[in-house]
Amino acid sequence: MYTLFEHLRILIKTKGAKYVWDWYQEQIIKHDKNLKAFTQINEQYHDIETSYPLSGIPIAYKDNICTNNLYTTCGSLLLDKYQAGYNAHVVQRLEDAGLILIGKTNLNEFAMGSDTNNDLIGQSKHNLNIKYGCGGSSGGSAVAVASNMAPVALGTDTGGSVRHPAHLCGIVGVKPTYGTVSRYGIVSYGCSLDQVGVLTHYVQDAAEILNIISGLDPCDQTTKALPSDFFTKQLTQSVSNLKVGVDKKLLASLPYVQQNIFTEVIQYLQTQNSVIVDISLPDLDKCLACYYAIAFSEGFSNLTRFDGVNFGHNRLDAVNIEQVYELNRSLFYDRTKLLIIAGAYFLQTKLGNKTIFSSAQSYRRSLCNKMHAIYKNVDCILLPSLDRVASQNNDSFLEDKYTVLANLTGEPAITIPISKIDNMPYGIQFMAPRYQDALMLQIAFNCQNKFNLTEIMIQ
Amino acid sequence: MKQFIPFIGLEIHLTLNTKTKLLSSSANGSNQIQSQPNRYANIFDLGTPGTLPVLNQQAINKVLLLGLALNSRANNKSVMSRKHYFYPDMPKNYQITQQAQQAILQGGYIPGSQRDYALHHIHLEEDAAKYHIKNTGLWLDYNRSGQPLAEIVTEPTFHNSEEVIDALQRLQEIAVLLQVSDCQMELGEFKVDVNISVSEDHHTISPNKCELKNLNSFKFIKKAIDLEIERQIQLINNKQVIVSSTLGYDDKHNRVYIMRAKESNKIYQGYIFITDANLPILNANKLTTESLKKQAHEFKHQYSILQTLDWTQRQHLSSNAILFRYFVNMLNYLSVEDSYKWLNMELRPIYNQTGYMRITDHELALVIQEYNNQRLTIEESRMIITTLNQSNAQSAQDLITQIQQQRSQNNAFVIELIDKLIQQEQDAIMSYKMGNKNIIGYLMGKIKKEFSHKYPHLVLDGLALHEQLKKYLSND
Repeated sequence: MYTLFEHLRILIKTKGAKYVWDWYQEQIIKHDKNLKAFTQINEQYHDIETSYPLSGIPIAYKDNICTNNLYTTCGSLLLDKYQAGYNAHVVQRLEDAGLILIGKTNLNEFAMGSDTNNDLIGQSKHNLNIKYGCGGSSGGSAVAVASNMAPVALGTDTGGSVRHPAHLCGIVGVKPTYGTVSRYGIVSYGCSLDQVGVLTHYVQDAAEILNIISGLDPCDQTTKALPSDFFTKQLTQSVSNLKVGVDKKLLASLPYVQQNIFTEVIQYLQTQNSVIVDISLPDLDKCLACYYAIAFSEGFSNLTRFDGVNFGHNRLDAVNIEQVYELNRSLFYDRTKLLIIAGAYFLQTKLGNKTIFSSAQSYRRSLCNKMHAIYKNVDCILLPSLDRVASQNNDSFLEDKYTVLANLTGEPAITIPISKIDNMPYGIQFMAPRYQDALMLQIAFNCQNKFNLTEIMIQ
Repeated sequence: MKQFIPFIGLEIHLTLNTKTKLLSSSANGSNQIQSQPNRYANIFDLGTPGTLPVLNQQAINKVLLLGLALNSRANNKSVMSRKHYFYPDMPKNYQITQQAQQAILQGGYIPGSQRDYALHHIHLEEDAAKYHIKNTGLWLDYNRSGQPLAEIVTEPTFHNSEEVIDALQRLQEIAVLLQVSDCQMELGEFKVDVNISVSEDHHTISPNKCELKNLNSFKFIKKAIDLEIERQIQLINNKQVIVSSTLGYDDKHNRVYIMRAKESNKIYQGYIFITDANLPILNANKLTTESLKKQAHEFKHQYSILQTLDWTQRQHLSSNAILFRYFVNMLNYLSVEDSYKWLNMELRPIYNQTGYMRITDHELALVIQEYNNQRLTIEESRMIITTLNQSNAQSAQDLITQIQQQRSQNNAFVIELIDKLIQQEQDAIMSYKMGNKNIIGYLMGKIKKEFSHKYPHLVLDGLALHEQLKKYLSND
């Protein structure tokens, strides 16, 4: 399949990296005023080493990923004009591979939420209809890629923050296995859930980026060494004889149009000699409750450092240290404040003899065991990434129920655009066992080949 | 008069002398604490967003070694947790520490001079930054932020201040000799908090305990404990309530004072804890390698030898791990008395002067054996030891052989010197013959002076010279 990256490689070779850069800058000037995908734009082009496979390709980073160049605001008034002073591990890897930072993308404050709204620059808009929400929290990254303001963007995925907006904007969003990609330089939301994700038009392009950013980082003790082709090693192989798990009861609960899309995908997989196995996924509503207890608790803890003392916004009119905390921390977005309070509550309140947080941790361990049992019979799982298309509907706590499972168990998950409903893109999700990212990308690659909706705009 | 039984428990913070901090690559150590403020603070130590902790393997090894020497049990599920409180000495507004149940080491005891003192657990945690409140505001120095601490928590096993001091001295000795901590109290590397309550019987420990904090010498610890026991007994006798409080000790007026009552200050109660998911769950049992076990086992044996020495000898050895190591290694070749004598008289001055000990115990033993067999003089032995400590270009055996060979070559020159001397020093010789045998020292001095003038790098065999001179004088 001819991908955007392959196309850009040819353009960079024939017309130069500057030509590609200028084209994307032009799109940003045209669209970003309305879409608000970026918190900041890097207008300064710099010459690059052109000998690497992805040299000269512009890339956007979600604004909770630390970059030496530009501010890292996390969409927060507390970090307005905050200079991280260092590159996140993933940023450094990509910079070394010749990719060029084109801008930092909008997000929910500290990646908490799914409507890409904050007090710093406001809400990002859907590229196909600015009255519609683009999802989130990596909404800026999704809109930037979907509207061709960047060929690739990184996001972070704590409970679906990459897959949710990718689904709504009609692009590919991958969250690899927890521990494959270093989180060093990512401003933490939930340390045990966070993973860097990639947003692109094509599965293959995302896999290429993942190869670059993954593997051991001595600064993140949850990472380990991986082969350099870990994500692409079996990408283009056919999917015959793969066992794909499908929870038929779950699919039957979807609206009819969505069910039809799944039927089409299942039929295609069967024609490729894949075997569809009926499975029973864990109770997704319980997963969601478990997820929020853990995410908010870890979020509470990770946000305690934002007090204005050592970095970020500082109110100089405070008369004592208590007032420093009060004045600075009242700058949090309302939803973030809610989350902090909820997290502190979950960590302190006991149900029986356990706190809500530790009950959730126990449930999480049982979930991992359940998923392990399911994977004894299947290679990967096909499920919805979201049960709606883009609309005026915005942030809802309840709609992450299809995505949080992969974060709780640390498994890889991908959403790919497969069809349209009411002219709005609709995606499907694949999940696989931990460290089976290559297999998951292989099946996603094959499906995208069959149901491709993407058009290459830059010529 | 009623009898009261004090129950005393200790929390001891030892700064581990690792190369880097507990969770970051910043340099760690007493030099660093004392250096220019904030020189040894990297972005992790400052709590910068996006940075992640990386657990220091050396700190784990050191605390495990200490735990093994104190007979603790390595925990097979040890978790690092965050303890939340807002204060600028903790830039993340939480401290990475361990909760008792999940501490890396459980139980154990400090071997005391009369009995063993039971431990509850030992855990790892990061130190806070230093702060100074000045009239210009709050000044922060993050050099100390993140230094590795081993917190040793005892059971409420002590009943008087003597026992406490005994335990603290032993613990300090063990930590220094194991080279896990330098334990310099004046630099805050050995901090003790003391919990005290008083009961009327042996079986119930009163919940109304007071905690003495910020005590920075053994002398003050002892005084403060004695005062606090007295204060609590007096309160009970006067039918007053003991309010659980945090206390300080005022050495100028020799009194304890209440810093804050524990009940009244809600901020210091009910910390929120959460597991730090960035750090691995440790199986300390698996991390306890055979080599650590062997080290601890050997140490316990060596430490028991130290107990057989008298107080002064112990003081000399227990304050310096390098000399102590040297001492116990010498025991492989020499008696306890010989080892101590040589170490204290000959090696300690060299060590104090140079700051290092490069001569191996094996070589040293060889020199001492030659001396004991009267094949080397004390001066020759000293010279070999000094030379070997400076460079290992030549072996001890080489140097001994060289000296012994040169001695025979020098013999001719020495005879020549003696002949000359007898010509010049008729008065002295007369005096010798009159019975003043001590004059021989004067004559030997003369010869030695001339000898060292001609052969500045050689040592004259004093024993042989003495013999020879005597022979000459009686022949004449």
